[in-house]
Amino acid sequence: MPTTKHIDWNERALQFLLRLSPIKSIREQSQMIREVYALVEDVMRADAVCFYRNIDPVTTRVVLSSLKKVFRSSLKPELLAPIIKADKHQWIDDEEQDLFFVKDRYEKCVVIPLYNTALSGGIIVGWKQSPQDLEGLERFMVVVQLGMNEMMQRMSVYFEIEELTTRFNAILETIPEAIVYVDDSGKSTWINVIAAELLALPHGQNHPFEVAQSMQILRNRATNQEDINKKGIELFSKPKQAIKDWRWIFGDPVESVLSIACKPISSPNINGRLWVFTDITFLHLANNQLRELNEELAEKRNLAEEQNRAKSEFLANMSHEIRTPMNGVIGMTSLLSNTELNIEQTEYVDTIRLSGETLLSLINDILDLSKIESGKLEMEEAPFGIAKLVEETYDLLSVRANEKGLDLLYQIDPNVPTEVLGDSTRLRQVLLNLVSNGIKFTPKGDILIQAKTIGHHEDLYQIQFRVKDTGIGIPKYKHETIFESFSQADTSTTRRYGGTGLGLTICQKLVSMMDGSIAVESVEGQGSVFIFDIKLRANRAIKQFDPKPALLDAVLTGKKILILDDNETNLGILKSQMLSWNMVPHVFNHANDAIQAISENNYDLAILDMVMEGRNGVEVAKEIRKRFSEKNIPLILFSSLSFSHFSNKGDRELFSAILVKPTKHSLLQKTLMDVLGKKENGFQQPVKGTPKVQHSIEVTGDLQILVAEDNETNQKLIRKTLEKLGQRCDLVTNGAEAVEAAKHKKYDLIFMDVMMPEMDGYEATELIITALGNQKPVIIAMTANALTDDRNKAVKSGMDDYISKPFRIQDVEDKINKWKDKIKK
Amino acid sequence: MENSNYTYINLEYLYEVSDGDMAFVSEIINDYLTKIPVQFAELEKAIDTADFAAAKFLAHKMKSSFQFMGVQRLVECSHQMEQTEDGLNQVFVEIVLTMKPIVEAVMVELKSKLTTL
Repeated sequence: MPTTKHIDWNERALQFLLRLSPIKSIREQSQMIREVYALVEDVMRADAVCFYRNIDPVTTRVVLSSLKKVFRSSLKPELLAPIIKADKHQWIDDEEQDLFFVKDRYEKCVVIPLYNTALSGGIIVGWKQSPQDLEGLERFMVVVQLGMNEMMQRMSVYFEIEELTTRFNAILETIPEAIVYVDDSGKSTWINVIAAELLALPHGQNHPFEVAQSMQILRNRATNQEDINKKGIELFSKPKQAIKDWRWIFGDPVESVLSIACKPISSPNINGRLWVFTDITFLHLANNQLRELNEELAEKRNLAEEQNRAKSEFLANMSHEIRTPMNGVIGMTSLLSNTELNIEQTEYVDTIRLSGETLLSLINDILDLSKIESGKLEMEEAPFGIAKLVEETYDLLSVRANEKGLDLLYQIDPNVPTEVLGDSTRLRQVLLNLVSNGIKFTPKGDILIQAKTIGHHEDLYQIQFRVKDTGIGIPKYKHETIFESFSQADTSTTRRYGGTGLGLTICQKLVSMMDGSIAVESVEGQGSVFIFDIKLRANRAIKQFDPKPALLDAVLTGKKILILDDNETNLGILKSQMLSWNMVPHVFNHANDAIQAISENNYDLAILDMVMEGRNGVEVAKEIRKRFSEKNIPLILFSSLSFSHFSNKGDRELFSAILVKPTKHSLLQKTLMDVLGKKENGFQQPVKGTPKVQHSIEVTGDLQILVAEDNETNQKLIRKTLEKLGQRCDLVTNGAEAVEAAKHKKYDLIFMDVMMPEMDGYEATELIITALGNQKPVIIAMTANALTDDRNKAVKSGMDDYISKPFRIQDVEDKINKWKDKIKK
Repeated sequence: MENSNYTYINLEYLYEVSDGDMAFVSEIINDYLTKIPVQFAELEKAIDTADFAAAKFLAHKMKSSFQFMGVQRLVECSHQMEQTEDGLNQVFVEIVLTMKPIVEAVMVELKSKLTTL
């Protein structure tokens, strides 16, 4: 065994450092460890040396050892911890040696820990005989520890570098982009495999000049030199700036496109620039294609819009061109039918007229449908009342319904908004179509329109309409196809009932435009129900003008009313209407039951339908008057148009009022109030010669008033009204005369009718203003319309005010008083 | 109320303006009896010949007469005609067909009224 008795530890320390130096250049970790171990063993002249590593927190192993079976192969890290955790060498006492050695024991034993995160471990050295000059040995071990730790650190750095290099190589060789790194010092340039292919250079380190030259050659091959140079100037004038998407396009037509990004890289000691070349050929070509497609699309869209416009103009022109001669044909046949014709000629003329009307109807439907399908139909949004719309629809069809003896009934649910915003024209068109069909296909019975709210969100309501008839019904197999164009239920239907087969198609499209849907429920022989729902906004601006509750309470509430009608549907509707007015309705569908009820009850009023099976309304009324004269029940007759003329004057006098069906609910209510009000208060006919009203006239002195009105009767009425107010007036019959009169005489006030022949009131007003300026008289429009548009039109033309016909004396007086200050001036 | 004896006409306004002058009331009723049938015939002819502008003008003119006579149904029909789009011949025809029997009934009632004055 070598002896340490005469070792010069200072000299040994120097030797250790000198011999350690070359080991530092070894990159391979295990070789480095072996070399260090050998050096320590040699220099320290120990009897036992081992190199241990802390594998993990619970595992410490001896990796190199001079003597086999001397050191324990596995050391217990938890027991070693206090020793290992020390940052300098630790002398091990006898007891502690048991941790390291199997059985040998050494006079001196030391652990030199290596505190390096990459290589945690240490060296254990044991001497059988204690070395001399322990002080020197201590200094030597410090040098050993420092030297070894520095070397371990270096090893760790090498290891880290190797790890980073491996990682980045893997990344840079895998990504599809070409990567070029240029060191600003000019000493090093590195390119990946893809860049090597692109630049025709070897992969890895290259001479900076060669890389720069290759990049320039590549750039010069591009076809978009102008764009490249522009961006290049930008880059090179601001070298610290990053650049993105610098496109180099190759080939004409384009074969490839590179997108170049360049970013300066900077660290405390190294500056450089990273270039990334991305092949975006596919993207570039796809973008170009997309741009071309968009241009083509825009061109086609413009063409389509132009064609649409042409189609619309064509439609509009054709509409006029077709309708005008058709109206001519129909009109002429109508005139012809009023001349003297024999039976044969009459038949021919009727056929021509019917054919013409059918053709016109077909043309109208086709043009309507074309308009809808071409998207030219715009839905309006204006306020309207649903009840009023239904009533207007019935107004238009009442004659046809009455001819067939059909009742037109309607029921609007209380939860339907009073007024809504929407396109009343189109909704009326749908209802007209459906009710018209109902009338056409119903030989007897009634048509019922019902409306109710089936859902709402804030002020948007979903309203369901049901148009029900008691007609011939539709076979089940036709329910789905009936809304298709030219698909009536049966071809024989067309022959028998006529029609274009487009009405329901148009209905469906209009309902769809109103954000709704339509369907039919029908049983053949029992009638049909067309159900459609649409969305409408409630008009929050509506102000209710219904009769004040106090008046309703006073007149209708609690009144007992008898209703006789053989139509159960109508009875149901009337009953619910009466209940909503707080009346007490008793309904009967047979005269005998009604008579019996009158004998047992005291009714305030009775409503009788005229057309009933068995006895009609007049006959029932006569019986009531005969048997119950003392009860003096006011009677109201519901009559169809064809029964409005009574053969006997006395028949008419049986009734307090006669209402013609279809009766508007508002009119029914008003009639009930009138009849019941008279019953309570009596009625005073104005006595002849007795002035009925007194008026106070605030305007003193005669006014010079001009009235422009072409209707002779109206002239008389206006003149009479003004006479009652103590005023005289001059009269003219058209706007042109009004202008002339105003120029020749100084008038204070002109009542100007707006619609007159030759020149209307608006134009006349404008001319008067032009002629007289501020000296013009006060001009008040007289109009039969009280619509906002007409009022606005009057104001716009320069009129000062308007008055609606029929105007009462009080209305005229109010207007004169309103403008008196201006008139006095 | 004047309406109690008649289905259509309501001469309340006329009575107010006339202020008891029955001769004036008779004169106005006679005017209506003379002019309304003529104007209505002109309206029918205008529709037959597709002269919608003329039809609407006549409807407007007659409307004020209907208003003064208190025949609300005819007022509504006239207004509807004024609002109808030109070219919708069917609608014009429907409206006229609706109006005609009412106009005839109104004439009967006016004649009846005249006999009571």
